[in-house]
Amino acid sequence: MAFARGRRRAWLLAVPLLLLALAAAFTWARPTSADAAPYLPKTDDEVLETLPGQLANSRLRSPAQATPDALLDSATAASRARVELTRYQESADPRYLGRAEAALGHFWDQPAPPEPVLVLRARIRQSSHEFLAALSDLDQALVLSPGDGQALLDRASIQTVLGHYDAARRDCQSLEGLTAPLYVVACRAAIAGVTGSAQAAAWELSRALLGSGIELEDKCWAESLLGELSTRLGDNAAAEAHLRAVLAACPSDSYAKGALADLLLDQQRNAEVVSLLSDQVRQDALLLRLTIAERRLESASVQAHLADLSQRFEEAHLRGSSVHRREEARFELALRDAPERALTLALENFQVQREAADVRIALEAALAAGHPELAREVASFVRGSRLEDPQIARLLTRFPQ
Amino acid sequence: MSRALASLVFALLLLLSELASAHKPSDSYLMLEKTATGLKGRWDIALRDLEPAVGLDRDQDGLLNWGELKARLPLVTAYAVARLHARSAAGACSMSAESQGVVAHSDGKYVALALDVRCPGEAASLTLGYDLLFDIDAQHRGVLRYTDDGKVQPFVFSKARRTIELSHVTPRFTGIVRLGIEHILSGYDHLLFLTALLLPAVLRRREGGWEPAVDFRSVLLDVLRTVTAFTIAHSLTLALSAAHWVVLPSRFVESAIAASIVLAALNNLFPVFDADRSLAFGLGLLHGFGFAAVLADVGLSGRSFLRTLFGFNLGVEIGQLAVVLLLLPVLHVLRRSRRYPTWGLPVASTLVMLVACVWLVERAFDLKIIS
Repeated sequence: MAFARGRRRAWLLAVPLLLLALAAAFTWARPTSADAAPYLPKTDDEVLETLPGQLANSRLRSPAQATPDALLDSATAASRARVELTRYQESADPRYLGRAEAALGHFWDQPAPPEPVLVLRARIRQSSHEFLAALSDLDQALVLSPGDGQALLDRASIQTVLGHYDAARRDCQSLEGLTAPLYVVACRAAIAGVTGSAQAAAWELSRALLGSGIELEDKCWAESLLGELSTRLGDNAAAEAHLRAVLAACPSDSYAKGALADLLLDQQRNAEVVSLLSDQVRQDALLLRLTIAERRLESASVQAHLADLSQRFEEAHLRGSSVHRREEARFELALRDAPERALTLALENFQVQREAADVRIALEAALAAGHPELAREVASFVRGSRLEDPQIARLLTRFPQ
Repeated sequence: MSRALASLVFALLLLLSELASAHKPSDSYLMLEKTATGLKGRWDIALRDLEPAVGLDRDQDGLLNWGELKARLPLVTAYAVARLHARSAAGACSMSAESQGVVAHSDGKYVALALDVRCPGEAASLTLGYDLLFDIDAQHRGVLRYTDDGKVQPFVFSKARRTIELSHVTPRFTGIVRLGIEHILSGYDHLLFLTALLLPAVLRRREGGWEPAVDFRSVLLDVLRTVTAFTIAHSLTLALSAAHWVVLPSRFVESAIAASIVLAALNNLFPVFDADRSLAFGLGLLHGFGFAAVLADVGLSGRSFLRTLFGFNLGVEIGQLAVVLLLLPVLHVLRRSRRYPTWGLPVASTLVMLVACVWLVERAFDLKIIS
């Protein structure tokens, strides 16, 4: 009897083992390559790609295709690059950045190209996060042409990103009289927002916005800045009102969308984030915010969106790009529960740029990883800068002085 | 004036639009594998990138359909091939490309080109030159995944780095053995075939039915005979095929291997062949052709031919032995169960057969049933 039971037990053990082996064979027999397989479309009518639409700015529609020879002329090359940069700005599509660089190809590696080329090269480098190279281009441009307001404004914003607030303030000062008051005010406001005078800057900026003859896109941009200042001041209601006003006037403004999503995420209004961003899956930064909200809501689409984001960051790594370390750090922290990896990325990113969002992700990742000491440099940077932000202030209390 | 002012805002806008700049930059994807005569693989190029280079949207409606692309494929292929160069020590390699249709990447559809690069002389080390799209998009990258002897290496072509040296190291003997082991362990069809053959090894036939084998020693001998027959058979065809004396189309070989599993499983249910050895040998011949396909990718030439062939086969046998050693104890335990001949064997054989049938249909008709 005991013998029979023993046999039965062995039998019960062996059958599932065999079935398991078969199931494994069945599952793993399929190729699991990450690459999708090529296919032949079924019909000629199958639409494969929607090419980028016409520009909002009709003046820039269909630029004459400059021949390679024509691009040897610095004025032609510069105007072509300017068109591509405007397209980049309107579409947020980095391919246009590469095209702008290609337009300047002949001058790109020159140590001392003409002044307009220097300013454009600086913008392209700035967009590729080569801030120091951009800065040196602008220094050179401003020696050649000290009254170039555009170069001054560009340099001020780079100095702000790098946390060199005094240098930035000097450039805004020099801008006075060279351009419309709104730009001077905005130039100062961007610095004020991170150096302890957000309230006064917000007041000044909203007054400047009352001026007449301001173009719609400038209005949207300035009100977005106002929204950001309100967030710094902890006035969530005012921030939301400003950002919603921007989106009513400029519906495709992705900065405002991202800022509003962050505001809502901080208030746990996740369902509103989903309805705001559900059709914004092409832009990684917005998809990131959407997925964070979806994960909190445990919604069904979260897995697909996670896979999508992973693939995009993977592709960025493949090409050797590190432009999106801030976003990737947030991805690792909020969606992959990998605080150590997030901290590494956030600290690398902090060495390149030091805006409020860069500071915040570094502090959050350091706390989540249980290594506040690794973000000591970040904490002391914030304390030295008088950056106003209730979220960052709250995080900062958990870092030793 | 307002236009100048609008451009003044650019710098700040850039900072603000930081969030939005996360579309995908322009990349092409090269997946190349070293062969005995050069390189083989695939090249994916974004339709978005080809549009300004070649002009695909013939009706200018902003929508690119398959008809428009198809009409331009010869031009696309010629454009691409003219911008990729390979050289071996003996001179320039010939390059041919053929469209495989389109493939989806995260930022849209790409045209997929099958590449065949043939080089003069001993194509041991190659220099690859890449010059696609840099004139149109200076931030374009060519992302290369290069496979040599089963080892994958990533490279990136950029405006500043347009040539890459692909140096080939002769695979070490242990590397070839490992390739053999990996192939058998990841080649589920070979393992399933072996399983089907071994399922009845612990039983003896008697008047149309089964009874447990008398002792473990006889089971062991039986398994040894079956495995040896399989080994001799596939070694034979592996050698014939690797030496290019007998070459069969791969779709036929793959389908036939699936069919061999169906047959082996069927033979467990309705015994026709009395001795498993003859079945193992006969069908094992097919599997050798399957192994040869893997070996062909490594590159078999000249004096290293025998060494490679032997090493690979050794790897296959080691992997096979490991599986047998895992399977035998399980079967040995099952041997005494009264239900094994009546239930276990038929159920397991049926399952094996079902899987193999799916493979057979997939391979014979080039379908995807299990995704």
